[in-house]
Amino acid sequence: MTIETLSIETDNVNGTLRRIWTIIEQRGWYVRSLLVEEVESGARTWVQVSPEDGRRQIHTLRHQLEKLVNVRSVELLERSRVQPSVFEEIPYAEAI
Amino acid sequence: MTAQAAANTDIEPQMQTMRGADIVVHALEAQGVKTVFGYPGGAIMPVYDALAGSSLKHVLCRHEQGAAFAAAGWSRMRGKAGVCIATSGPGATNLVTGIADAFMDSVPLVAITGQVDQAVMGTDAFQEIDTFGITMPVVKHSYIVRHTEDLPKVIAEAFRIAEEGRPGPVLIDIPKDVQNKEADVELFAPLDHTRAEADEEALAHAADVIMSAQKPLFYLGGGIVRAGAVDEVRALIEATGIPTVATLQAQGVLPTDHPQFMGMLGMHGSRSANLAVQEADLLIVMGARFDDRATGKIATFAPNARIVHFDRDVSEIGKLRDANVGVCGELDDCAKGLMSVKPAIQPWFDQCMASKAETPNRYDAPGEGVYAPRFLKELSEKAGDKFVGVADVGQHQMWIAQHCRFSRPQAHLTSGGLGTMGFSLPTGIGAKMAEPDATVVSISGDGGFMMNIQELATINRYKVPLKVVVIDNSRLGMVRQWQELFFDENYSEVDLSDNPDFAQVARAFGLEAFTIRRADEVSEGIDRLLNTEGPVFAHVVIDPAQNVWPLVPPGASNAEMMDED
Repeated sequence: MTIETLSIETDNVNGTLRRIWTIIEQRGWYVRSLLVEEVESGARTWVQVSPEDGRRQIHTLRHQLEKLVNVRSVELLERSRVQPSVFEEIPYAEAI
Repeated sequence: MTAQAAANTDIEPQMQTMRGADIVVHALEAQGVKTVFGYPGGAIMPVYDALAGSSLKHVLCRHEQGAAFAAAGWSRMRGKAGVCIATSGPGATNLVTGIADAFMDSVPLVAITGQVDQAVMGTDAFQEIDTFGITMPVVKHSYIVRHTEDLPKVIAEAFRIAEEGRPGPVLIDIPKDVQNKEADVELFAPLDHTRAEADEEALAHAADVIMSAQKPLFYLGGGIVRAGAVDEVRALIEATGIPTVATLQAQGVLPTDHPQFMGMLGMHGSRSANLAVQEADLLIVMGARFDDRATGKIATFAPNARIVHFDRDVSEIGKLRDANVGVCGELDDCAKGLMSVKPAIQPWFDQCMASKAETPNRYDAPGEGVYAPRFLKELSEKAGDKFVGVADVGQHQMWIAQHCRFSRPQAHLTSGGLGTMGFSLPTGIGAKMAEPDATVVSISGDGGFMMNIQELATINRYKVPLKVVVIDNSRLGMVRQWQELFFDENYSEVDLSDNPDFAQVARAFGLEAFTIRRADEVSEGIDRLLNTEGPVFAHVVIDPAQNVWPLVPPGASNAEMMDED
């Protein structure tokens, strides 16, 4: 399974986490795990995502998250060693 | 960058004690807003109470969706954020389609919604809905205002976000207690917008790639219009001498009759434009996003072409087609930075123009009925440079794009991304109010017209001198066409032959109205439409069998265009 790991630093504003999650799923990715911690005057979210199919590019998702108003930076921490399958990813429910 | 109220407004930058609702109104005034579109209701009543004594002109639409489209129509003409206002619950949900339409077409919009008191939020209170959550996927940003004193900053920020960079809608959800509470506040003047500086090295690389091309082609998108870069891009195209195609949203960036313009590309694009794309060895993409309606099957789109992609939104570069050179920056700056590029491409230019000359549009339809493409062509040509055609969605939308003459991009308002039926009439109202000197013509099909027909009452209420055309084939024409071509003529739920007499309906709303049924009535009918000073309605009856050609079948390459023959 393809899993990419992003580190997202944001302002500490209500709704930001929901907005991030919305973008991830809206743009064809699944949230596999998520951890949030408070940092100085903001929050850092580590999120692991995997694509719905082989046509999704993590760099495009990164830029789509960077555009969000309360997002300060998005870092791609670990690239998956597995290329996305052209045909199918492991379904969400099974991964859970 | 975020200076508080400065000398460029009439608002004194001193602390004032105001009720939240009054802050909303004064903060809108401080942003330079003169006109807002909306519909009152319970949770937004304090704001409407404050509106009554303000300098703002409120346009009462007859449905919140109409208000959202009218505000966006105003915005599409002015390039500044339009404002719509609605109450909580159904008022807010009725706005959603208009907000989504603005999101898909990158139109700046500020939507203000009332919300129930914070004390009852989350309790399924009357007319409570999670507006913030419902709209989240279709806004550029959104707020729930929790403290009255935050209102000035939130409203100023909302305008900056809506208009800055790639524009889009911003939602401000305001609980009723926040509207009612008093606070000491300072108002904000309009905030400065940041600009993205294009990387000079990338620009130089792009120039090198363009210079080395044998068959370059400009591929223009609506981002040019939103960026206010039309003049610079026109100058660049003329300086380089490169042939040009444009998406639906970029019609008018080059005037329709410009010698370098080959027409619209894509599903209903011109044959010569699509063939040029397929043969080009370089696509210079400006403010376009490789939408599927433009590219057809993406894997076979422009198979021989390298890509140089300019966009203000970096997430569009490489999203669907890898770019050999991607340049993120303001499009006017990018265009200016390339002005010295002049590739030697005369054989390619001659080939493109010969191809265009070989495939002209045909207007010699047989029979006595009205041929919609010929009607639309004549309408736009007679209206001249003041013509603004506001399309709805369906067959007529494509005929407008294919056959009307556009002198500028604001001459063609269309719901390109969301493809929203019901778009035209309220958008036309907003557009006409934004630019009273323009000859604004709302053009709908009979299906879409019925989706916001109530806005005829708004036209009558404010005596908006809008020209309204309904092209009536008594069908959901585009669906019927696809059922004919791709579903074995299994016509399912597309018959609208029980439509009312539209001219009678329009008269009931106070509009002058008439019907055109025959080809020999067209010229006189267009003259009457254009020469009537007040609101006027033309019901144009066409043959249900008329189809839009050419057509790239869904999932096919743009090289595989179907035509009538």
